Amino acid sequence: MLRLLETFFRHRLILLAPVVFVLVATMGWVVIQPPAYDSSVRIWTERQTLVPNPNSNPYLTAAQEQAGVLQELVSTKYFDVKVGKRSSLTAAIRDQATHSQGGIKTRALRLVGLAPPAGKVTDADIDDQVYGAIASNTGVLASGPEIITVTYRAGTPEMAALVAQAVVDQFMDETLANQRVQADAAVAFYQSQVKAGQADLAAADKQVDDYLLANPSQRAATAIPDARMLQLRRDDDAAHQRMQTIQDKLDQARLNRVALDQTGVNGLRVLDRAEPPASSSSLKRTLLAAVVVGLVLASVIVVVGVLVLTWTDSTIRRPQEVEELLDLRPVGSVPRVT
Amino acid sequence: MAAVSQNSHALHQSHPKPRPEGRPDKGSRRREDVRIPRQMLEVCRSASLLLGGPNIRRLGITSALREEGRTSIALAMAIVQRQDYGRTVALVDMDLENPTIARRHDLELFPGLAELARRDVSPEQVLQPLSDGLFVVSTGSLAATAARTMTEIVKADTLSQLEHHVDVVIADMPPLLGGGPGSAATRAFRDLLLVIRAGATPVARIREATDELQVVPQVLLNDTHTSLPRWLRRLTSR
Repeated sequence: MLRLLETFFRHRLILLAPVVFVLVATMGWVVIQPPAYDSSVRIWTERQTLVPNPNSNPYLTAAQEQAGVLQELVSTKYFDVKVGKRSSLTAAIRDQATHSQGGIKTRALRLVGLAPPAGKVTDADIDDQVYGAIASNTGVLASGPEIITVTYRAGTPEMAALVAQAVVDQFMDETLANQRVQADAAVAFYQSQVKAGQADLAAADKQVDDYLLANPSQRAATAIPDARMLQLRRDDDAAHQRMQTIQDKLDQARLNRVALDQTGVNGLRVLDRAEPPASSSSLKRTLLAAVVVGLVLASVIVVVGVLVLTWTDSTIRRPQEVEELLDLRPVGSVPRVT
Repeated sequence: MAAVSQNSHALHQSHPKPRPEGRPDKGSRRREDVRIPRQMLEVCRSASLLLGGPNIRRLGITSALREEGRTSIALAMAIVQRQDYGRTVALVDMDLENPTIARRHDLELFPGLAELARRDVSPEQVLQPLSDGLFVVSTGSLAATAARTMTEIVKADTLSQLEHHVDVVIADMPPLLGGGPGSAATRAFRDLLLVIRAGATPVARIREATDELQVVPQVLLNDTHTSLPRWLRRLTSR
């Protein structure tokens, strides 16, 4: 350890020069960054009581659960393209792509025919750019047990607010749409079950009526029912019971479906809508990121430099090294006279 | 800085006669102090004790490469022998290819060791007083190559001639590496002090230099220093 420290202090200028260079370079990078604006939406989320979610995890808070779902959605192209179309992001990117000549790389590729001519962009390209922008600039954070904060970073305050709001709106629509599809499926299923149950019930009723017609002695109120009559009545009661159960389930499914059309029933509610930020928020964050990156890089340079310099130093510096490395007896060490 | 006075040239009874009148004694004429850093002198004092102190008869100071502080250490060891034990010392410059002691102290370059090996002169004629009881033997004028001359010096056991006139012979030898006669010169010594300049000489070169030695040398680390700042040294007790 001391040897490493000695190496550092011995070569401090050589080691610190690249560190200073890295820090200056990162600061320069910060300075040339365009301004960016963050806009946030806060959503209140709670567990659904009217329409229970069978996939709900009881060990997570409602915000954590929904934030996880939203993060997954944001990382999909399907969702991001819809958000892009919902906001004006797709139009803005298309407009920019149409009027831009592209960067150095694009221009070079265009020269050798590997990139399309300027101004010609396909829908797929636009979708890719929208997906890239939303996936990389959207932040989803469960900032409380029941609050989710969705933040979007854009080059203009208006665009930041529009996209942040569009992400949340699309998420709520997606959540509702999924639940509606499930509710519709449940209603359709129970309706078919009710139809089948009704047919079974009608058949059971008819068998009882037919038996009574064929056996008038069984019609009297005081008549003792024979075994066949008892069996037919039992079957008829069972059909009635089954029919009632299915009807109850159908009613519940219909109720769920109707409830999903009511506001806030999906457990999500927007508390704070996205507003265009008044000032750029990027400088502080970019500066912080640059300082962290710069310090990490500088530390790596110093550590690697010290290790390399120590490793390549094959000289003897202390008397004990004489014995360790040469197996010779040291009789003294003369300090440097300054 | 420690200083050894040159004011007195009074030698022991067995000491050599003064140099002939016709040959000016530049060393005695200049009468400069021989300056050795006090810290170096202290280290050489303890090193001298470890090497045998007053029992040393002949000590060769060598190094793997040049510029390791060999000559300064040799001079310091000579001064320690004189100051601490009152012994008369012959500091012999055996670095035939690059003699420095005589030039450094403004002494005659010849006659010296080479002439003594050829028996052209007597031991008394080559001993030049540097200070009280401390004599310098310069390399002299080489009649053949340095390697050949060194072989003659070793073969003729020229240093033993000097031992009859002084109590201890301390030799500033050529470096062991570099193609010079350094390795051959070591055969004339039973006690060798290898000077290693800290942070300068690679271990591989030192090993290369000491592998062929017939005598296991003792090591004196020269020019040691720490780059740690004072506060860190205090913290680590260094």
